[in-house]
Amino acid sequence: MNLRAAPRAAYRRAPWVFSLGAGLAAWEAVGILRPGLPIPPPSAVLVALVELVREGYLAEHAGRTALHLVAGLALALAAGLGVGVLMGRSRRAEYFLDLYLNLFLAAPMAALVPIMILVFGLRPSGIVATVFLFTFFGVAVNTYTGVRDANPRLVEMARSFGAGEGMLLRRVILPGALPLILGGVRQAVGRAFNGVILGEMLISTVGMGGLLMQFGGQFRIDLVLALLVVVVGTSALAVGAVERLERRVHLWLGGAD
Amino acid sequence: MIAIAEVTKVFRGRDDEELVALDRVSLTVRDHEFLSIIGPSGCGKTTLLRMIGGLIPAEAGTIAIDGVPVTGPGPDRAIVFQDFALLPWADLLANVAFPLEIRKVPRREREARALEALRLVGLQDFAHYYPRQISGGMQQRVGLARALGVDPEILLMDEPFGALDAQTRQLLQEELTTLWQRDRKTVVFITHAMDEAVYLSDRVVIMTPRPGRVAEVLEIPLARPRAPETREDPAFVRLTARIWERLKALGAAQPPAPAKQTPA
Repeated sequence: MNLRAAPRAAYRRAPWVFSLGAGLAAWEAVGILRPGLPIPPPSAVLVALVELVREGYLAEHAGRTALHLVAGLALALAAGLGVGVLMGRSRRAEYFLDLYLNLFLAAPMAALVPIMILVFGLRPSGIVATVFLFTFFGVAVNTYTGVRDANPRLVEMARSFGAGEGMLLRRVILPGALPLILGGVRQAVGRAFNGVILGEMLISTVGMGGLLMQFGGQFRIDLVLALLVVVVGTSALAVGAVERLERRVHLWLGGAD
Repeated sequence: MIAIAEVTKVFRGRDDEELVALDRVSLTVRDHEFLSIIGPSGCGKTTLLRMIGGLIPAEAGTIAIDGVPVTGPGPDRAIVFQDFALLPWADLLANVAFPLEIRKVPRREREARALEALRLVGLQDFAHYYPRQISGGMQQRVGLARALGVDPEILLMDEPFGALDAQTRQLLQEELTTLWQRDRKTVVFITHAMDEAVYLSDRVVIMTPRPGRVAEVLEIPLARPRAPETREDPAFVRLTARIWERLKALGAAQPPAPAKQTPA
């Protein structure tokens, strides 16, 4: 039997449908065969999810979480782009900031959340700041790298025709850096979900993170898993949307399919 | 008129080793002249062109255009690059219009002028193609159209046909000479192809490598307008052979330099 034979067409198109289906079925089977395990089967998680929606928990808390996430991510994207462009275009800024960028990229961000609490108090701004911490440095470093490594031949061409810094950035450097910048944005979107949940768990009792903390304390694993399904699902959809954008940009920039 | 006087350029490598790219080079390019600079790699010919273009400063000496020293790029000059240097994310029309966009020419006018420039090189039907969709020869026609689109007084061409195959190269030489004969812009043309230099030029400057110096300036008295038949002219053959003899002698006189000294 050839184990490396090409899978069927339907499988190739959406392999995750099959792997997820198989995983859920196995999990459900274990739940039926061995009742009383601490981890509830998928059917119980589904029931818990319906309960969350019906009680209005989800509508209330998911909205807040989305607000925290979008605010922190938007700030991080704006600041990350700005700092990245600055570092990519100014040798002085590059030398000065490179160390900090690398330190923060290596640092475990979760350990910094207590500092955010000290600075911002137990307020939503602390959660927004946590999301920012989780996402800013990756966006900045990718932007910086992409801008720094702009095609020198194209930069010289533009300069020879008298292009100033603004024109150079807009028409030559940023389009060339776009794949790397979007790669940074994709990672940032994923990390933003981690940051917002962590921030809400540690800083407040609202949002999805607050709910997770609350249900976890009550050992309602079914509710915890139901919340995680929503969070992870939304995160995957958001990351997937950036991925589709990346593919379009890749084609626009002259790449092959 | 481009007056190059005692221009020296030294590149410093990583270990502070010095490469004298240009050593007290003096040269005058006349108005409406087609001047080629030929020489082996390392003779500083591209460096000299980039200095005329205002992209790099001279170490010592001056370059002046109509009496005004060159301190940077200017609207009187346009460069055609060896590797075409087209924006991959812009269609041909936007590429040709790019210098006009830099100069803040309104969109409608710059697109009309870009289309006219594309027509000059026979690519008006490809205005909305992207560089990746066309051949190297077509890409360099776009590079030429982009330079002509700003209507410069001086056209600086940096081995523009060096990356093309022999047939395409010959075709573009013929197109270029036809275009040039219409409005006779001042052209400085860098090449390492001897027949190309003779076919296109009024004068050919032969340069020596390490340090880069002018070895000889050769008049090309072939009749104009030039056409494919020019290549069969005994004078064409004689002049090409003359350059070859000279380059061969220069090459034999120079020990091969270590590769790391060659500027990128």
